[in-house]
Amino acid sequence: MRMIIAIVLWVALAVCSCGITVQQKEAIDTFGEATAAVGAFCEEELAFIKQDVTEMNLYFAALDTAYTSRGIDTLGAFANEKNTAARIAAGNALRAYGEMLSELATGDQEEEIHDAADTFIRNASAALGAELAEERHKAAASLLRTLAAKLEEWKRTEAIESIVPRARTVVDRLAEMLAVDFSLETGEWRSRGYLFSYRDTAYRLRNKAQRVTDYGGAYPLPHRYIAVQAYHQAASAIARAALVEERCTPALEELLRANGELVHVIEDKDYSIADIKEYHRLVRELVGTIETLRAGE
Amino acid sequence: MDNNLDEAIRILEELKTTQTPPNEHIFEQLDKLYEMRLEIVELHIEIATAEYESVTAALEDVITEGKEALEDTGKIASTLRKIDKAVGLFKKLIDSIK
Repeated sequence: MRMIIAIVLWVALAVCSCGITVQQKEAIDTFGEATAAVGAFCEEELAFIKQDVTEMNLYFAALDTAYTSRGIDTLGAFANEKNTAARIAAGNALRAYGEMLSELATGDQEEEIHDAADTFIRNASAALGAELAEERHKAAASLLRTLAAKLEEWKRTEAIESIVPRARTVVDRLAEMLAVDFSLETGEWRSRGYLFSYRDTAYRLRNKAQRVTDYGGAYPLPHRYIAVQAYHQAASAIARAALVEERCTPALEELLRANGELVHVIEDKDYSIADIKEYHRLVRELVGTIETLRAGE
Repeated sequence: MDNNLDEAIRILEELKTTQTPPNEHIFEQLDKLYEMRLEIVELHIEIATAEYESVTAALEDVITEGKEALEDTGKIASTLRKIDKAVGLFKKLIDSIK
């Protein structure tokens, strides 16, 4: 009986992994793991930024007696619910896509693959909105149908071969969108994103706080106390923005390159996976830096 | 306008550090420039308009005057006045697209 079970397991394993080499499996899993990590990073960082913008604007309004409640409501408009939700959805979509690929390459939980695929499509649609409007329904439904059919037959290799090239454009677009949001480069207005405005919010608060801290004894002590706290928060945000950009920009650029490479890796068993490994290294660096930063908060 | 606003902010930040005790008016005007930059990122502005051109030109004046103010503090007041003009034109630009 044991022998029969062992043979059945061996056959099942062989069927699952047929058509895919160890190197291809490694590439898909490595790409999946890195993409899940970079997606999760973006989600968490955007949520942090939104919260930090709110806190900085509270200090800002406290330091400026000219601000009425109406004025306070207008502060931090770039980080409103709608803007932030779309960007967090982009991070969430990348995370789900990475998890789906890793699970397809090395996992054995069909339900988890379905859940990740569903999350990927739902969040990619929310993030890209109108951009995907026309093709969204057809492409998403087709992708899910393909995945379901392949998984029913437990043909994971075919599922990967079918999904990766078709999802490439969407993944590229999500990465491009997040790359803009995590860039501090000056250029046209349309190429400035979330992190740029976050840093400007911090610059503005720093300016407001310095007006008090650098003015000797001209302001009462309670006012000065708020200004010192505000200055500290603004300075931390400015430093954080620089660090996030320094690590996140190369990781997202490498994601774009590796996403293209993954298609080649799947088509050609002997294709080099150097870019994918480099992508994984950069994401590890990004996650390591941010974990250190968050641990110190 | 993109680069002009960035440059105007850079000059004002530099100008701010040259004043002891701090010049409150520089802080005020610098805040207006940051506010402009935060607003403009959120707007879909048509750059080929007369309103846009006039803001760009006004910021150019701020830069020219601001650079001179870095050498000659007697020019600070006129630099700050030019910022008011640029901010006023920017408000008109915003009104024209709302």
